[in-house]
Amino acid sequence: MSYLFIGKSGVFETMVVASALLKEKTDYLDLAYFSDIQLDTERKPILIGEAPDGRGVYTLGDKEYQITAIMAEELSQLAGEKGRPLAVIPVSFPGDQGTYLMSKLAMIPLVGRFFYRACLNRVLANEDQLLAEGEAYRRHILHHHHQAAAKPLP
Amino acid sequence: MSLPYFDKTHPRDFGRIRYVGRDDRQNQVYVLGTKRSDSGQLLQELSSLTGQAEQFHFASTMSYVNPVLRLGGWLSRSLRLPAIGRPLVLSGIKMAFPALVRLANRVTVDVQPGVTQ
Repeated sequence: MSYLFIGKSGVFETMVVASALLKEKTDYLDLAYFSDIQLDTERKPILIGEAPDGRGVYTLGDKEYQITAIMAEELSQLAGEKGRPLAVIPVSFPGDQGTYLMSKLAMIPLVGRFFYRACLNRVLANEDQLLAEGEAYRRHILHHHHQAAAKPLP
Repeated sequence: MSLPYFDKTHPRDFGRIRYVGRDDRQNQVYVLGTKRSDSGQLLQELSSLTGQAEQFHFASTMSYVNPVLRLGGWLSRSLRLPAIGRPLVLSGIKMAFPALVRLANRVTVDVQPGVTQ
């Protein structure tokens, strides 16, 4: 199984939330692809590390992230038991539309730098809340993982 | 017209993968509507994440959507005026039909048995 966090942008708020799930505590600023706006435009799942249960943690940015989340879940179901299940986690956050728009403007030569910094400032301003959301999800999956591990064999 | 979901979808159906039947090689055939026309690569990436990429074959029909079909679909589904939109949809589909049949034939040739289309 893999964890796929999907939001408007895959390299800002969504990546901060997903970073809280990593097995080895990592500052999101140290993640290789954090704030990589070029990579974000490719609409590809970005592997950022491993969850405590050994599963891959991915982020994905898409303007229509709610539709993409449905699509990913449906594909996972279609893949069935033979496939690797995919836990799809849509990430929405107040102001994520603004960060998304600014990340697009950040691609403009010269003035783009201003918008890029604005994106980073928005993430920094909401850092605690984003990490708390990620932590809540981490606790949730660890709880389920331990429950499953403690189940006696039939 | 008698096909399930033909001109009957809602905005909430975007992203939902719907089963329409099987081809003559018993491959399952599904349809999917998204708001973006360039979702082929993304679908490929997502199917790779499930570890079953080789089980899927994605065929985009977006390049076959002509202006008449687009206008008819918009009137019928977005403005909820099927009485005006549906005849246009039918007319647009008729125009695109030969090309759509060629696409379906190409897909059938490309796909091995046991693959979802």
